[in-house]
Amino acid sequence: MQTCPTKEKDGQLIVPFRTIQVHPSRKCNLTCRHCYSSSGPDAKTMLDIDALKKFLAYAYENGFNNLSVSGGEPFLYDQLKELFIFSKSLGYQNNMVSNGMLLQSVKNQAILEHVDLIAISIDGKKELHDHIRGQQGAYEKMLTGVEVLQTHKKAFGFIHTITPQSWDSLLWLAAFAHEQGAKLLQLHPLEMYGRAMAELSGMILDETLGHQAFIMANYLQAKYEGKMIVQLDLLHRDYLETFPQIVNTFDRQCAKKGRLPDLLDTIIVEETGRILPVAYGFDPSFAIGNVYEFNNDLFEDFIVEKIPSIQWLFNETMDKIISNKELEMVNWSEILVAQSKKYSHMVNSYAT
Amino acid sequence: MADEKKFEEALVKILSNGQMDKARLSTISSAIVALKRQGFVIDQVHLKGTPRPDRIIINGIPDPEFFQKFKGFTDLNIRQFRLFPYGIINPEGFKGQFQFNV
Repeated sequence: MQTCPTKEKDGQLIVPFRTIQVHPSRKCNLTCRHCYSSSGPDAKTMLDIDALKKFLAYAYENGFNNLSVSGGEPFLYDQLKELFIFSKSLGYQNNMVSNGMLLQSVKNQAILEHVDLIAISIDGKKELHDHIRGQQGAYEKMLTGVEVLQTHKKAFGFIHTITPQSWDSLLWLAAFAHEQGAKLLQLHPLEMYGRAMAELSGMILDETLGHQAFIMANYLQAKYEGKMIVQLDLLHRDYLETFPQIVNTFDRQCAKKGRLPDLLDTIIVEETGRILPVAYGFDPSFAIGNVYEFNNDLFEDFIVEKIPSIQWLFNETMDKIISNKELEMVNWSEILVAQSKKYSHMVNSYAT
Repeated sequence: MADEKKFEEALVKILSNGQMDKARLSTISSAIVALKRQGFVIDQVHLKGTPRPDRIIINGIPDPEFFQKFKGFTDLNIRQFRLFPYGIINPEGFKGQFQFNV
């Protein structure tokens, strides 16, 4: 299996990750106020493991190589261990995002050996974390989970959703993450999807907050250089204008090869089995298919039928961003998902 | 360390208390990104001015891999990928870091 591009470095072949984000269920022990997938304890649907395994094998053969399990809380998916053992046997890198609260169980700790990287969600200091998570004591339980990761010497990071309440705690957060031994601190701006639309509608990250987070994140990147990766999922428009291929896969030479992983960095599998391109929340009219019903022409058919419209959508979105001189801080995936809904009627307009 | 703490307190104050309006925030962000566009890694962000800090200085050092990565806009720049959709962690950056540490 080889995915373009590749390069030799120190005798090693570097193969970029092409990600399948799997939401095996939306079942969760929490009902976080900012949850983009509106996960919670009442969610029942679980993705069938056999259907998922069949699709993962197909996708790996066709160039995808990185599995990122989210949810819901992944540890509540009964077949998580089986999933990771299978995906690792194929050659996938296994990653997961967790709230870290269910790591005390021996069963869940046994899963860790099959995970390459686990990211723990943190919303700020104790009070804010518990408030956003909707549960007193959530912070302490998360900390206990981090201790388990430390004991197991498991590589881990933290993921933080930046809100107007949290941005001025980023200094504390980075110091905390570093002290805990995290290798990664990922900062993601709050997006208005799922439960956030109802519960946090007044907390959208505006342009000023975007600048504050951007400046602070750059300071933190400098401060922790060589010690911990600090990643901000927010781009400056000027940078995007110069290097659109950072997000616009169709601007890469690689796209000419025409395989799906050369055209899309990420695809999503929802708990219903639906396969979406690009990001969670992308308009279903652009869906790739369903893990319960697909054949070996799935990706090729999708490329013929829908990729031209998606390419148009990427370019249209890029033009919109570049031409809007009022907008300097860009959350590419949020804007692109919104555009997919606006232009869902265009899905078959450019079919080849 | 004491200087670092002092600086950080001042930075938060400047960013949050309205001494700096949106236009000035925009100027700082643009300065950071201008350095990045030219192939620099941000090395330091610090304050200058007495008796109270009134300037933010941004230093950059050349990224030795930058020009190789972006030569001819080839796909090698994928390792610079900085944006992931919600809920997806960035194994690219992590993997690079891990290899350096080893």
